[in-house]
Amino acid sequence: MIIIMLRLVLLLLAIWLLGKVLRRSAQQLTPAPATTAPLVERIDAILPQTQCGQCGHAGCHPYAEALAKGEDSINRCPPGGEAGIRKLAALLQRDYLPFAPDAPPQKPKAVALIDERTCIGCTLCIQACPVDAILGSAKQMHTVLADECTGCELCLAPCPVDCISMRPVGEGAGDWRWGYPVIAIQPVKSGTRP
Amino acid sequence: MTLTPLMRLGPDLTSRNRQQLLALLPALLVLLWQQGIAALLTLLLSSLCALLADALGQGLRAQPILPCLRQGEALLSAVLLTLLLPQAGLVLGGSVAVAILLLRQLFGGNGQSLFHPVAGALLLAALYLSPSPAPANPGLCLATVAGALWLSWRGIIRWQAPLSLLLVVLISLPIGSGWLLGQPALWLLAGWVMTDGCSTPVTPQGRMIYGQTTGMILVSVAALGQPSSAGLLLASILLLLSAAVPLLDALTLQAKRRM
Amino acid sequence: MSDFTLLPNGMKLPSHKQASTTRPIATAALPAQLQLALAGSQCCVEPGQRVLKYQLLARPDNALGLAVHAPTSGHIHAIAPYPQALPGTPLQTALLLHSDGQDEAQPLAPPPDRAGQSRLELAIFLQDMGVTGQHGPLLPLSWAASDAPLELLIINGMESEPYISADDMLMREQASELVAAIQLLQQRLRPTRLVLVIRHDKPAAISALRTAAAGQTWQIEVREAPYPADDAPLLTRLLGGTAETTLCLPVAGVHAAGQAMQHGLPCISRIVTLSGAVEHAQNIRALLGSPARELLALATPHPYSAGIIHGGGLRGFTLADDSVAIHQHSNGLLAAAPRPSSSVAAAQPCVRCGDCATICPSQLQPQELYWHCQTQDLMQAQDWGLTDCSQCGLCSAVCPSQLPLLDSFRNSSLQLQADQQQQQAADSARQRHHFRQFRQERDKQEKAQRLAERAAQQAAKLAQTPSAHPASAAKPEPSAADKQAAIAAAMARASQRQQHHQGQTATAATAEQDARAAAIAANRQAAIDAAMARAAARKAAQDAAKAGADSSPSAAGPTPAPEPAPDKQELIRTSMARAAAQKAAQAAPPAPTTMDDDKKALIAAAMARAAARKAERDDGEQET
Repeated sequence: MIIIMLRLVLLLLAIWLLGKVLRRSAQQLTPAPATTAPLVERIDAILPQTQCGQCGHAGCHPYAEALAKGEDSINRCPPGGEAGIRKLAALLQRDYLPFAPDAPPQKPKAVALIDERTCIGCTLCIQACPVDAILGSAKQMHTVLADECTGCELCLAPCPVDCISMRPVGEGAGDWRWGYPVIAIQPVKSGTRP
Repeated sequence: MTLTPLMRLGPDLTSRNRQQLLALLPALLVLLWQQGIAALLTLLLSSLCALLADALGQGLRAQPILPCLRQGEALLSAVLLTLLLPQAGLVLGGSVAVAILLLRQLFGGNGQSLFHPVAGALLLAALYLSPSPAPANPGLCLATVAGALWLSWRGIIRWQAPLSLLLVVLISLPIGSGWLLGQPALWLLAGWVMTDGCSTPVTPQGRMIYGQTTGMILVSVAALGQPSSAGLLLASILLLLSAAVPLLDALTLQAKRRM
Repeated sequence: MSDFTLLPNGMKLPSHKQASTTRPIATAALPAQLQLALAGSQCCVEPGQRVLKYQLLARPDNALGLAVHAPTSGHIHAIAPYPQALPGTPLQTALLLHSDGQDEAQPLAPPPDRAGQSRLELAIFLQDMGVTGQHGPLLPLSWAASDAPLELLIINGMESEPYISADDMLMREQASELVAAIQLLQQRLRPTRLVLVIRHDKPAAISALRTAAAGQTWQIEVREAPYPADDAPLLTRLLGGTAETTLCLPVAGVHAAGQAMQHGLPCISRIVTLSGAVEHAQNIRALLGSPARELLALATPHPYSAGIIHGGGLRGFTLADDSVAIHQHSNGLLAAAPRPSSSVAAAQPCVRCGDCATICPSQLQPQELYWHCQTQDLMQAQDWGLTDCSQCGLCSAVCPSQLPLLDSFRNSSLQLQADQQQQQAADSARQRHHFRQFRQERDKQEKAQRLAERAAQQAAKLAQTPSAHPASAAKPEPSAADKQAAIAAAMARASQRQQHHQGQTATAATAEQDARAAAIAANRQAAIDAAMARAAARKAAQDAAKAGADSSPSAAGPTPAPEPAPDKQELIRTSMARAAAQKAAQAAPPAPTTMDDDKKALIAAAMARAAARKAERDDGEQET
């Protein structure tokens, strides 16, 4: 009886071991994506390129460099959202980190709009814009190229007449196409606020 | 809200299991006619044990109990095992319960069992029963084959794995694998266990490889070693090969990926 | 390829079309209110305004948008977001038109002279008439604007979706109009080959078309193809065309285009199949924007029917709100029969039966794809062919576990599209940011160079005029070497950055699916590269000139002086002019009055606000 039991245990053990080995080889069969770009560039490709500096660095690339050196944590980029943190965690093989409680809040995508009645043409916002999305010249009214604006808000502070405001971009059905269905509207999870 | 389509073109899980049970009916009738009340008692006992074990497992996992029982997976296992070991009685009841708890519920219920509970239960029962070869039973075999053919025609089971196994067995008739064909266990396991989705490969090619490998191991052991219980032998092979399913899937699905 | 979709149980896919083809096309009664979505179009009427039938209500404002015309006369009641008959029912801005029952039409503008019209003009005309194709306007503007040859024009009359017979009835009853429309399109687009492809299950439509099209130079092809045969890429492959040189147009759109080209009639209605659990299944010509519930009521749904399904038996989806309006793509409204209670249970886990993979017309593995779509792993989903999924819905219909495969694939492909757009925006922002950094660096270097030059000149002058101490004469040499080294370093940096840019665009291009976006990005990159090359070349030239000047400072003593002189003189001239202008501006008394008093007040207020805000911020900082 005991011998039979032993045999059974051994058989089950063998099956388990075989399964482990085979599964390992199956995983090795699925090829890892070929990545040749340096780590900094791969990190930079994940970052949203708003160049907003909310991470405390002078732009997305410096933050990517800091991440590559392991000098900063992956939860410093509010525009990238939680999806961005997950991607960074996967790339850098670190654990997922939620946003710090004192981190700048995540905002819906918005673009800057210059109030043409108050703009005095001081060009300060043009100098502040990291992606050259503001047009204009001295003493002339400026305007924002909405398609190129990343919504970084860096132009808000320098404006002496406070004429720039952020307008949320509607993420509606926009240019839906048949066969390309539209995501259902889901109630936004309301955070627990004190 | 789910945006289900208006049309349903295939049977749902409950209906699939019902049809698989229905396909076992001729074999069950033959068995009852051959063995009488003993087989009926075994059937009742194993069914009861299977249902109770399934209910217990669902309860422990805090899942709805009645819909799961109504789906008939556990009942199907019990009926299959009755046909495989009609005289085991209490031993069968115990092993089917343990197999369902360990191989079905512990893995996470429906659709998750990597090892088929029926094969597991056969192995368990063999602990208590002498592994002697069962006598050939052509009547039961024919009834089983009829049921399996009907299932295949209905599209409930896929023919690749059983047919590959059968071909290997037929090809190797000269080396003495003929006695296998008279064993109801071969047909029952080929038609109802080798066609289960969870413990077998998902692609047609994978199923063929799976069937062929099973056949080759089965034939080599059956022809070269001393004859023993075909059911026990096949069940061990199936359990062993279930561990290779992820590998077979990865191999055969590789070509289907868009790289 | 078999000629019908084989189901797991070996049966043919039922078509359920007979019921709705027994009656002729009816015309729906005028609804009390119509709701017209403004998808990609700019509204040009106001709430409260009375509009006449055929009046333009909204203009297209992008390449995918369509003009909206009033289907009947009435008053614009509101312009607000309403739920739409789309999977997931998003809210979209729509016009609510209360009809006044008079159906008073405005005179139709005659269609433009057809002979001399280019295909882009034709495409824009059809867009302005609100004629819809598969994606946006009937003739895609990007295609019409390109000079791609048109080798194969397919008029798609396959209509293989179960329950739907709208195109079938259109071809039966309006065959001659359709033939005229096809003839017009043939004259204008001049395809090498024009095929009207029709499925074998529509004998009445085939004979009607054959009669009407007697003597035409194009062919009518009858095909027996399995279910998602109306899918444009599949059909293109079936007829031996290539994606670049083939255009596939739906029959309904071609008919509407014919009406627009012949009579100048804008597209304000479409044929809708009413079927499912109803008494009188039929097709009706319904005004766009009619409420779904009112339309389906014409077919008398069974009292036990549960909800309305928009679309066909496989691709259709349940409407969350029965009062939503039909749109250009609403080919059918089906009353859903309640499910038997045994199958109401929620989705079960996948049992790996493989039925979905067997039936998938695109040879995908829906069970694997579903797994990755559920875990939001879109990279993997793409590897498993998410972009090849034609969203035919067969996998959802055969799944024994009743998994919402189609819904999941729809959601994920939309998510993928959004992600790709976002990635494109990020790539563009990165390029602009890099270029800005490059420009700033370049400006800084140029400025430093100018200063150094000036210093060198001054030194040279000093060395020349007071017949020089030997020490100061030796000075320019090392500084020039320094400068050269700095410039060489800058050039190296610039070229490095350039290479780095190229590397980046290479990776971006592989990710980008949209060929047009890639072309734009390449253009932009080329421009940036060219600018960088120009800058480098200019620097090199300056460098060479300077090197020449430095190598013989004593021999060509006075020569370097006149070279920068024009620059400098010009600078001085312009700055003097600027100063004069400034002075003049200050002197001129009307200057303050040119500025609007309004604006002055506004700016003063804004500045006060800004100052207050800044003071507040300073206070805050001091406190912390």
